Amino acid sequence: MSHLWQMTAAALASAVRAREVSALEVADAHLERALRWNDIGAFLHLEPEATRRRAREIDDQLDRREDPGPLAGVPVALKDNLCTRDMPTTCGSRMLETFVPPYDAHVVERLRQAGAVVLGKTNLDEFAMGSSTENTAFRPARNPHRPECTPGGSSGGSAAAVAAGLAPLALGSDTGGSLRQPAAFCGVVGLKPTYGLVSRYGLVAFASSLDQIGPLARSVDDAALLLEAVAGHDPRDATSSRWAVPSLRAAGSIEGLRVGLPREFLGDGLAPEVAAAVERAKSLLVEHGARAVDVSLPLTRHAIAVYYIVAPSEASSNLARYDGVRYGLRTEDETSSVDDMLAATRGEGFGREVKRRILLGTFALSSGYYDAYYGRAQRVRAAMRREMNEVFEHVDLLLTPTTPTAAFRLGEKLEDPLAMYLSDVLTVSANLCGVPALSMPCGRTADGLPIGLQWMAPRFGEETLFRAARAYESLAQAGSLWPPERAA
Amino acid sequence: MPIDLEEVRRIARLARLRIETDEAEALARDLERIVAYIDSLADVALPEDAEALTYFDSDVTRDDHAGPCLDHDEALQNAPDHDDTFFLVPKIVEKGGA
Repeated sequence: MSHLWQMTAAALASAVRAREVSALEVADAHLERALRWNDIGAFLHLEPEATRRRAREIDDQLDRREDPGPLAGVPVALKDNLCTRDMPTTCGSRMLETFVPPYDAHVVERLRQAGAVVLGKTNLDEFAMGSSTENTAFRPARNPHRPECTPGGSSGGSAAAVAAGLAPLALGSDTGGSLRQPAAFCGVVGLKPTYGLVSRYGLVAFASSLDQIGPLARSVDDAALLLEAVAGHDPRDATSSRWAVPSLRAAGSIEGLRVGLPREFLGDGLAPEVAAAVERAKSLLVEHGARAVDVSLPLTRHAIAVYYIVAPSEASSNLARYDGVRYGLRTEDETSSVDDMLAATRGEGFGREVKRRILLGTFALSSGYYDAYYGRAQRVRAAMRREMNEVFEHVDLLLTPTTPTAAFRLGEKLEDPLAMYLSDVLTVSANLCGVPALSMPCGRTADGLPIGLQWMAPRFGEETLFRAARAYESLAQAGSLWPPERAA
Repeated sequence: MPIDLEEVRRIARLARLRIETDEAEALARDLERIVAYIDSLADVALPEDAEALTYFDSDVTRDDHAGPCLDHDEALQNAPDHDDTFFLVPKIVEKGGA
């Protein structure tokens, strides 16, 4: 029999419900695994006793012949920007180092209702700002495939945890690619859902018109299982959609599926191995009945510029709440006024990248510059969305690489923020346009690093998205890519 | 748009962000490069009346009903300084001041 940590979430839930294994044994297997892989920095916070207590509750429910739910006894790791009652939520920041939220995020409530067991909180770039899980007040995360490489970011801890079998499922957030890029770098499946599909209540806000919570898993079906558990309307998020989420785990054919290949995503700047992997994926799909269609999204070349105006602008406004008064850090320095206390607290509490983005956003919104930067970016964004909608009149899905290269080394781009920003070039469009996008493994480089394939669908096109991703997974036998195993 | 040290200080004041001098110099260099990059948006051809994207869906409204909210003690539990009732901040009005 395979190890518990190798099993899919769906298999674990059915084994727990059938009493073939206890929720406690499942929790212990993953906790033990998390300790063995502690050096990759996937978790910022584990609370083994609370995890085991919760697992026993699931076993007790089953003793009483109650159904704990579709995720019965399944351990789930949570990115540390999702509020958890009675468990720290630091956002990787000195500012929130001691913060323990008095409430659970909507997705955390939903996970409990589904019978899941929260394992702990995972590493991230500070306030989810970054692409490498290095911008942190604590410790960087590492790629389980090659520890000298980054797992990606900002949901790098969640992706590394799933890839190394420390958790079968994890939640992260995606503002410009923060779920998909780490999924690609770590060889797992990651989805940014349609904007509005998952409530943002209890997600610490970064850029509210772009942020979306989504699943990470080692198979397309497991990602669907987790999405089904957390999606759905929540009146506490004014942008939460009322769309009834269909079953996302139904099998289906890709015969006749129109797959768009946007040339702006496939041109210069791609590592040859990445371009070749996507080309192979396309050929395989066509061989099995899909229709490849060349399409163009010319405004894509402005996507990074639009993103790095809109996201920092919204961040500068959202992060104004860290004032040293209601929660979080307050400076110990002697200060002469509330304004002075505020500025000193924020100067001490935020790291370099967060400051950079607050300043950039404040600049773009400041008097005299607003129209030239924020106003203009929002107009280009509307045009991008129109352009994307028009393309989706001719194709069902778009197929692209997730990232131009496989995982880069820790430190490689840390001193060059613009180079780091440009690594998001293939993922930000989905956030700017509000459409769903999924990254899944499609092979490895000669160095053994995973390569990610990205699917994009029209808004609320998750059903087609999952159908195509599942078909490709099965045709290419492109399950999760396990990292090299370690001695016990 | 050049970003010099003085501009960084102006923005930092607006953002209520204390920045040390060596940090300000590094940030000015970074911002200068980033702003030069995002300035490329000025060249995008858009119709004069192009609308801006603000919402994906039309505005959603709901009835304004009172509902459960955070308990008083819970709201205070993470405050750096508080008494039984209030968040406390450093004194801002000197005795005898206006």
